[in-house]
Amino acid sequence: MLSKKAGSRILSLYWIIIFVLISIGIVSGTVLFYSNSLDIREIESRMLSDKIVKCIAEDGSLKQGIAESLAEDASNIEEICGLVLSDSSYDENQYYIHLKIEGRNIQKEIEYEKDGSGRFFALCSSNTRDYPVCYKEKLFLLEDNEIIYVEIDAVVSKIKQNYH
Amino acid sequence: MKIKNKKAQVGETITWSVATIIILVLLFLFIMSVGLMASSKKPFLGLGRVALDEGSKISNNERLLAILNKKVGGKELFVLIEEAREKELNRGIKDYSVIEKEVKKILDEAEQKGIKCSFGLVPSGIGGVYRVVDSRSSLDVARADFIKIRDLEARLICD
Repeated sequence: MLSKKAGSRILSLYWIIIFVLISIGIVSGTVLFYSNSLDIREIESRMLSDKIVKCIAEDGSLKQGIAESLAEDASNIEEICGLVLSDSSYDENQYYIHLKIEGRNIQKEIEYEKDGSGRFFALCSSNTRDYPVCYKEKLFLLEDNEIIYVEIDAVVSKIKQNYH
Repeated sequence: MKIKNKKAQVGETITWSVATIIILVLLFLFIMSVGLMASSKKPFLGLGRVALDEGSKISNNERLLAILNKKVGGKELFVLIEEAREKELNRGIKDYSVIEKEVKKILDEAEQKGIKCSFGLVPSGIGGVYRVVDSRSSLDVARADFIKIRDLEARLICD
């Protein structure tokens, strides 16, 4: 080997190309990972259910008069429970609530969806990502020292943002 | 500048060709695995806990309070538990039969409605289960939320 200078220059160019390729690879991987959307509808539907539980129950008992207020007009649920069931990124309603209260002395079924079609609930049995996400909570509470059963279905649609 | 002997150059080229192929394969594997990880992304709370695994603590708390506030013979169950525990500590008489019977009745009826729960009274700071009323065959009270009644922890865990 009489002269290595030309060899070193060619190798330097190669190293730069490899460096650029690796950088592009790392950046692509990072962008690919963080640009992928996260479907949080399940958490959202659970939080909605929790809010309803907090709204109707206190110290293990059904709040006085709440079932009657909600049964009278289901649209009261937003005001009574402090819910904001609107999403500015959609024209249509994206939430549905179904509340069933059953006991010896009480039988109430409350359904709430702004446009009243009930279509979300019908799709609950479909378990794919391109359908609304449904969360069901079952619990028991006291009412006049009697155990009553409450079933809450909280549904979040938002398919457009989570469509794959 | 003449390179009179190319043998060393050829050796280096082969080495770097292999290295290039390995680097490109590793880059490809990296991007593929990132793509797979991205598609299975789940919201997490840190320390390996996935947010979706957490059950509803609010609902469980209300269920537990419903049991403890239920009146039996004019007294709430939590009062009966307190009295039973006091009798046990002061006089050595263990009698939780009324409590067990009532809680079992509540849990059995709840199970018919699709709510499967297990209830336990656990001494604080000692561990182990002291009294259990179980409507299922398996029990996992240790991680359940609890309400303290004297030196006992009333725990309820539901499916």
